[in-house]
Amino acid sequence: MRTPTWDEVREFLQHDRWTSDRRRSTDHDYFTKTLPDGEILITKISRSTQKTMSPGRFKAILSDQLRVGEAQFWEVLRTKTSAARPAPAPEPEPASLPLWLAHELERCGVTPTEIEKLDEPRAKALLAEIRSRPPG
Amino acid sequence: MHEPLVPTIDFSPAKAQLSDVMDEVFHQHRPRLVSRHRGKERMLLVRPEDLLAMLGDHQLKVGAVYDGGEVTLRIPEMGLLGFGETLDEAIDDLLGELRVYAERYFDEPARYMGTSRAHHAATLLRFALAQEAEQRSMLGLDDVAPEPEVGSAR
Repeated sequence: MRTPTWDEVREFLQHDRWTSDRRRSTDHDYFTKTLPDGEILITKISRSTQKTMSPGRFKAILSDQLRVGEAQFWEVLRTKTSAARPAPAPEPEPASLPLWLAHELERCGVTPTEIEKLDEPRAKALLAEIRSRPPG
Repeated sequence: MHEPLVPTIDFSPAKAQLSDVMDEVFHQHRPRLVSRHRGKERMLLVRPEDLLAMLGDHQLKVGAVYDGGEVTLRIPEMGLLGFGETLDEAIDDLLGELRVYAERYFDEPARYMGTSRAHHAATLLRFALAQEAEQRSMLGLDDVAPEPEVGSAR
């Protein structure tokens, strides 16, 4: 999956007519967009302009904040026109683990690289297996 | 209009006796309704700690995405994301996002109450009034089924 730089995400927001928000954190800018039905979308953009992101993070931004599919995202950059919503092909949510489960696995010494390979059933099975080991 | 079940005081006497009213709300834990224009406009005074207890538990459903050396935390229901290279960094970032969202929400409540974000109000108020440790606990970090105690090292 091709992932964008933060500059490209910023460019998407410009073509998709998002509004810059006065709120800023130390390294991010916030943007909002009000859809015709009144729904409010909110996103934040890193000021590390040339830095890119992992596929999982890109998927989360598309599905949870921008509410467009991947192809639509690149189409907006290509055509420099705003995206149609509801998205014709919304981005599926990225695979994720419940936070408590990821936290508990890390606490038990499982590395992020190992956690990355687990879906929820396998992560739960691994946690149960670790817990069933005799102490020491 | 029904007789209010919460002690009610008209605006003018409330204004004149604000210190006593606050004593009742704070020290005696008595919520008070302040009313004006014959009850057409009312507001509720309540001690924040009491309100926290009244709001009860609001556990946020947080998902963790691990890939490419990054951790992304999601609260899909609110459209909030926390970014980090480690889980701890992402947790801190998500807590920051919740604080910004709560500030934004209560700065312009009418804007959000008329949308599908209306039902975030109670959770955000709970979060906004909570201490930092309680805010973290709302992420469900300790939401683990009881298990027999085992060694923590792999």
